[in-house]
Amino acid sequence: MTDRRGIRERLERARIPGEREAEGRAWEVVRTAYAERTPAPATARYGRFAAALAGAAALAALVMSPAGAEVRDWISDVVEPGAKNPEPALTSLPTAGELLVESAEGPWTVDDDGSARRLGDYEQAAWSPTARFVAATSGHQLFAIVADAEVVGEPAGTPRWRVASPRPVSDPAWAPSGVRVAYRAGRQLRVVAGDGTDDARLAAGVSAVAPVWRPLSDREEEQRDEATGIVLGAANVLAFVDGGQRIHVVDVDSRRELVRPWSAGEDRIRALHWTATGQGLVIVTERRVIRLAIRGGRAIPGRSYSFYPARPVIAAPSPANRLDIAALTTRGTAVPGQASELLLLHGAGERSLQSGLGRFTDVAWSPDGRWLVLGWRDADQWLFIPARGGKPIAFADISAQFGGDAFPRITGWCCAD
Amino acid sequence: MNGDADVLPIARRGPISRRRGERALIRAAQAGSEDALEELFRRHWRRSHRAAYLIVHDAAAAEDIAQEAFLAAVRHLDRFDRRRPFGPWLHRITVNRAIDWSRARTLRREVGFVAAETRVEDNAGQGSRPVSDETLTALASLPPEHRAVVVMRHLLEFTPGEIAAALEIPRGTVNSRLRRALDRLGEALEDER
Repeated sequence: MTDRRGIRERLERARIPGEREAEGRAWEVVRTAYAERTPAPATARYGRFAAALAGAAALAALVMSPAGAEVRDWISDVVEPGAKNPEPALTSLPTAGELLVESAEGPWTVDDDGSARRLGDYEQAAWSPTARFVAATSGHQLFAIVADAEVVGEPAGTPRWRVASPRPVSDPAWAPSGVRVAYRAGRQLRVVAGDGTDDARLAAGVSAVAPVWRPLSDREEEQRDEATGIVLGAANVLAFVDGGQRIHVVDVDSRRELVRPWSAGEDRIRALHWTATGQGLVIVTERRVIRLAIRGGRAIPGRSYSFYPARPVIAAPSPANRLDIAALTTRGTAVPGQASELLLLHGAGERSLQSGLGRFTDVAWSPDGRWLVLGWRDADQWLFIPARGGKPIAFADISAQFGGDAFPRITGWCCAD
Repeated sequence: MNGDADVLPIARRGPISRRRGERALIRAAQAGSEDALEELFRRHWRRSHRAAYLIVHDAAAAEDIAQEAFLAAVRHLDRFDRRRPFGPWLHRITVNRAIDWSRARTLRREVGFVAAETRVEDNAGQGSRPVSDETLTALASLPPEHRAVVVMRHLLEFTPGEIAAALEIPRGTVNSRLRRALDRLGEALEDER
């Protein structure tokens, strides 16, 4: 055994349980993460000339390609990625609320006056329901960190509690009641109390899709305690996707399954969202956006939107209107030749709000449902777009304002007061 | 000598051209090529996953650890220095995460549970005992830090100096861990026979 070749041979031959299946699963996860990554914008790295060249080449390629006729219609006014004449820096948000942003340097909060504050060296982040705290991940740990120093009485970025896991932690989600936080630890779905106690596994073998909490009803919301920001006695209902691609809806406190598990068939689920009323889900698959009504313990599929040859990337239901969904779509995989569109899906159909070359990476609604913020990676811009029509407000050099080369990700816009 | 002169350039050409190929793949992946990323994944997944499993001896954890290493690679792809080899960088992340996981498991006193789980998985669906089960059993008798140096040296082919740098420990410690680990492995395998 001490012979070097013999050891290597033994290590190479040792049987690894489920080796081939693990490779297949891992590639799906890695591929999805790669498709959703936000690399450094071309403008920052190669300069404006290169960006213009890439834009022109992309336009030429699109126009000459068989699918060019369709594409040409919605990018005809754009050659270089980005809105014309953007504001040089983010100076204010167009309406009340606060943004949560993830950058390579960690999460940041952005006040409505445009001032940004870095919360520390963390990875993913999610608002608590009243924006007093942020649930943030770092490697194998989940943290609750102070976001609103004034209300909490401690400096922003101070860790309030921490949960360690033997597995890598991701996708934190704070329940609207404030009393539960869900997160993934490897392939486990876990839930911890809002004070960092009672960490427990809810499900094993879940897929790499972020779990989502059902919003509270108006009646439950009225019970929110102003001093603590929490709602006691409200149901904490979580939707998640298992390893077999079935959607589950579970009352976390009783562990009761509220809806018969539902599958989108062969179409792989990439994201889940609740509608504002909590009476339905919006599902993003690799090819479609699907409305799913929840009634009488059953999930009932409603309208399905296909964007072929584009693919849906993100869908965000409006917080103010149960029918409106903002959807990002992208076609093409590399920067030259890639084009994106932001659509408003409503009861009667769909309407294009913005289109352009390169990749749109994020979209989030303002708490009042009147504005959308759009992340345009290849232009290094954020656009604030009125949902009911009007001229967008564009801000440039976003990456530099969040301390790094990589384009930051918009995680949420909180909170309606 | 002439024979050597003929052989050497060819022997060298293999790894060098592979390295160049890898740089091109990283460049393409940075530019948005999913095909290039898949090629990198297929080249390195098996070894990374195997290394994780041989250290943690838990199939689900090994999958998570190797997967997270690749996700970290994807997250940092744009800032990756193409002059550096990709594999050792990825394997270093994997091994360090595997050691962290093993330490955390020890702290949580889950060793008995996981060992039982591993035994069941190892034998599941197998008509006969796998040839190298004794290797896994022998490795399991070592502390995770010792398993890691054996895996890094003999599976991943790091030099002792590279292991020391990756694990941030003195080179002498690497050598002593290797020596003790190999001695214990030899004894354990003798006992199995």
